[in-house]
Amino acid sequence: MGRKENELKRLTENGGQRLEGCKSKQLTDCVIHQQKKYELQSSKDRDLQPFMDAFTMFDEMIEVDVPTQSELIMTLIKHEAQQRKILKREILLFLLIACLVLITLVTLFLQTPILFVVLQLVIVCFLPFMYKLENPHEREGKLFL
Amino acid sequence: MNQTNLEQQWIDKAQLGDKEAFANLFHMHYSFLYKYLFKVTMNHELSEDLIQETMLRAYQNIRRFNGQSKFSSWLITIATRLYIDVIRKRKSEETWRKQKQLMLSQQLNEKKQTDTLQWLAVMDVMATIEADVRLAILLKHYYGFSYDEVAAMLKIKTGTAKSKVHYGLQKLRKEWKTDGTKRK
Repeated sequence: MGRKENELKRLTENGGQRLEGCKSKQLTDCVIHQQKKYELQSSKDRDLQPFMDAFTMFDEMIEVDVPTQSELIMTLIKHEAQQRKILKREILLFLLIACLVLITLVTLFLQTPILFVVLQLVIVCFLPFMYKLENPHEREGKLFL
Repeated sequence: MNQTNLEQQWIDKAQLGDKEAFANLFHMHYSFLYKYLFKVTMNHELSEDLIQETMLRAYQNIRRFNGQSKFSSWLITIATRLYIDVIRKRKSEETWRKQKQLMLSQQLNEKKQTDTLQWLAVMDVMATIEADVRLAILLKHYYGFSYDEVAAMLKIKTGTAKSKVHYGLQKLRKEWKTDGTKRK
């Protein structure tokens, strides 16, 4: 085995990689380039090491209070019940708005003072906000933990 | 039966609406997910809220899980996106820092002082970078996700994910060196 080949072998063993398509003479350069890249990468990894160690230590330190399967099932049941409740409320709200629109149209056809029409329209516009303020679609407290 | 087969079986059942299977599945990944969220938020309360929200989202969307990624990665994706929503709402990292300090004083008493000091310094440096950059670094270098996966999780382009990690690492190194000089 020649000197170049030996050098090549040493470099490859130390983390360098042979690039496909490189010929014998160029190959050394390719490997040397790869080796330098590898060394650079290693130094980057060394820089990152304290951070990764800190996270590992963090993982070891955290005590996780894992809820039981039955607690998780209960949470899912409660969530589904809540979703059904929200759906019912939304249907109710939709009906309410439909009624208001209907009243507005009837008022228009009966030619009542315009002020009433405006008032009704204002109510219709603000109704969703009022609904949201009273019933935010958020969880009421924690379901487990 | 090995864990992967068991997990797949639970996923199949959960996709058919089996609550118990989903509970088993989530129970299996709970600790891992909680640790991830705690590292990201540094806030016990927020982690609990997010893990609960993650569970409900996962339950609602379990039928969409197509098995292209690991189930744990899918959970991390949901949790990460929920956390991004939270930080967009808060727009402030002050809470993160405060909670970190509080948590450190409470939980690190048992550790050796030298370890603690080193740990404190590292976490201080981590606190100096933005939440989305911290997320990208954590996902890429601690959890070993590819740039494409990180980008998908953070809903950004791969190039943006790369630049975030690159920028974050540069800042970390700079801060770490500055911090090291101060410590000396």
